[in-house]
Amino acid sequence: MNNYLGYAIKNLWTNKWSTLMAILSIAVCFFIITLIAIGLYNLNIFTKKLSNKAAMVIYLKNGLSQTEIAQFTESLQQKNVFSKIKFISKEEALKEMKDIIEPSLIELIGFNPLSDTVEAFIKDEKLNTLEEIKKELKNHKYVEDIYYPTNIINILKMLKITLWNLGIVILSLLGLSIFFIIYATVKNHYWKKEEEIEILKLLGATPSYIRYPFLTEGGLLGIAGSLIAALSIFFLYFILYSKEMIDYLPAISQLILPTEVFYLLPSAGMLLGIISSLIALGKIRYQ
Amino acid sequence: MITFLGVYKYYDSVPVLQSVSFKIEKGELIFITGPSGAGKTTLLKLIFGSEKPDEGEIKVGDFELSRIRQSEIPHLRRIVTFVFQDFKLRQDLTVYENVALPLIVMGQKERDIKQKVYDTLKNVSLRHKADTLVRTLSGGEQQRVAIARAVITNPRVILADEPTGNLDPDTSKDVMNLFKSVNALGCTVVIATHNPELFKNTSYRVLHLKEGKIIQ
Repeated sequence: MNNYLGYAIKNLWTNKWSTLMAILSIAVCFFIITLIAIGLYNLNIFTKKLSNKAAMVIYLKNGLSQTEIAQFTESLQQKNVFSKIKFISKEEALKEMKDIIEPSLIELIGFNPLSDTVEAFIKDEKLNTLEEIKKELKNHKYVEDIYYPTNIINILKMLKITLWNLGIVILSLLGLSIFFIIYATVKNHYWKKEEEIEILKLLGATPSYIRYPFLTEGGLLGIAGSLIAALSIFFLYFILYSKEMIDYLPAISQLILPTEVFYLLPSAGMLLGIISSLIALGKIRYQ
Repeated sequence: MITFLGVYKYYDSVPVLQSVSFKIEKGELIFITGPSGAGKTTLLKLIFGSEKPDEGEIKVGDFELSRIRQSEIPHLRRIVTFVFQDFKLRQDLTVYENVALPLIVMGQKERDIKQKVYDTLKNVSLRHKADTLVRTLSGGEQQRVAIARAVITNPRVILADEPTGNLDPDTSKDVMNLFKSVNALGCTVVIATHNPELFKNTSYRVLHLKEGKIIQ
């Protein structure tokens, strides 16, 4: 194994300029891939948070007794659809309203126009059954009306799906670019050593003996590129999280950088490097 | 050791070997001779697994070459080695490194390799040139390096294609003596040549090829 590693390093060094070009191109691709992946990861968290924060407001009919309200909230809890249920009496609602609107204006009406309400937060995994839940609740005898910010949630969902699809297309294209960079570099290095390899074949070298140094080369190119990308992401993270930057753009502090990036990226780089080289070498034929 | 039975080989429908049948015994030294284009090199390539026969059977040791798989060829080449007319040496490496190459490929330990290489170089009178780059050597010396590389793995068969083709008569004689000494150790040696001087006045068997057929 040491021999293969030494041979691969020597070969990369011999072709240092093409190696450097390949590593830098791979690093740029991995850097963009990681940025997009982090973006999608944060988008996922953001939309999940937002969906969880959007409550379904159930307006109850007037004149319901405390027992009926308790029965209703109990029935909601039993459905196992909501993560949180909160009853707000019309008096509490009015009190909250007075914090927003000038109390004297409300007093002009002369009575409390608000209804008793139940705020129900739908579990994330049940969001797809939203319409059925709404329909079922609307037909309930204690329910006057239901409000849920469907449009906003739908727009967010659409935005999330579109960005995910776009992200996946870009990720695939960049992944393919890395594949071709490593493929072309290893193939080029292989061609340069064609005469040497022909001699090895004549001396009884097995296909694996011929392949290993080039697979190691591909793996090293992938690791080097992805490590540069990981380090760049690390520095970018520190710049973004600096006090000056957070003071200027506080939303940045909400960004999450999954630490898995730092071991997933080199592993992905190595794997992609080995696979690309394996395909570049193709079948070793003896003549 | 080597058996050819009704072997045919064509290049672009042109027959290069036709109904070739012969047997070479273990430990034999044999010359394959004939004019240029008679099929001598093709015959050696068939024994080396570089080519497959279009018809007929070829057996080398336990290897059935008419049905040999690509994955078996490296193993064949560890018992059958080839000395090429153009040497096929790594010009960027030293004599020592070139001779050590087959042992490295076979995964032998460096300590064992060192001893074997120096012993073999001594046998071909090149011990003093071990650290010399091959490209600085004369044709005769390069041929001796090629022979050293071919014998270092103790093969069962050595094939040589015009081994003296580029050498002067004195050097040719030295090279032939090397093959004879290798053969004396029990190794089968097959030499393709169009130079009758090599086998004149010898008791070794000679196969004459003409237009792809054995005529004598």
